[in-house]
Amino acid sequence: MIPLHGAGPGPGQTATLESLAAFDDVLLALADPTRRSVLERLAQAGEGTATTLAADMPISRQAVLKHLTHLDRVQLVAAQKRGREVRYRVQPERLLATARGLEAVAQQWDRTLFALKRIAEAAEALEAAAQEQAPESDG
Amino acid sequence: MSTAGTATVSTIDAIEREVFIEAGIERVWSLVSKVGFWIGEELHFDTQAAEGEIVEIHTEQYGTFPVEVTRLDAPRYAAYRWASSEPGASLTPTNSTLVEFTLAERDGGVQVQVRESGFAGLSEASFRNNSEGWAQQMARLQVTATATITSAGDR
Repeated sequence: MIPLHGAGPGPGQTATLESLAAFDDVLLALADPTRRSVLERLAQAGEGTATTLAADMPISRQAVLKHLTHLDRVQLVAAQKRGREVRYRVQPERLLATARGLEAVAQQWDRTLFALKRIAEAAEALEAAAQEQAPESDG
Repeated sequence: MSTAGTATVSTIDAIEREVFIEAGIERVWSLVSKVGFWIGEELHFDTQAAEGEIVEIHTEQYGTFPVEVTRLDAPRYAAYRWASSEPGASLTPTNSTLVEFTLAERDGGVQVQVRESGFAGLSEASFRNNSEGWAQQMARLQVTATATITSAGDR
């Protein structure tokens, strides 16, 4: 069961505003395939440093560190200094919140589509009723 | 009875929802071809605009949103671009999402699909090229993230 953000009463799109603002930096961070694979390696390893992650990847330690710094900035990973090295761990909360944000937008569209259905079908029924009346005026 | 429930998040960057409407396609088209009808507290069908035009939709609670009519292909396809996260902002490829409505006649009614894409501010072209890999990566990440939370909770 996924808890929803901004599940307001209206049929129109409103929750999109908050949820989009909350997750577009995460989506943007994950748009880079190399950065995604850095995050994925880190998730598999549990924790790691730029050096340990770079050992398994075809990119330099500097490049890995750049991606880790970006991921840290959007809170997809957490950095912890231990002596001279910085260790990173995946922070799953924002990733899951991003999935929930998308779900909230989807729920908004559900309400919008259902309201659209109601309005279109009501108009159709009105017209059908009017057409049933019409033959009387002919005769 | 709600039929607005056949939902899929086809990729992480796009949302697709569908509904079946028991009405003629021309009637449904007359509604979805009104620019920005979905924005705000209530649906509204009072704003008509041509392809390429940018219209400002005012809402009491959330401010003003410019919406561009990207394409109107009557009576089957309408596409709009809006900057849902930035009220009052002008539209750019990186702050806006694409909203597409596709209508198909079926069994005495119309199947309406809405697709909103571009949440990561990616260009449509680069996203399309990457969508499969992207979805797979995200699916894997979410599984891993869930496992991480579960194991953290065990400690």
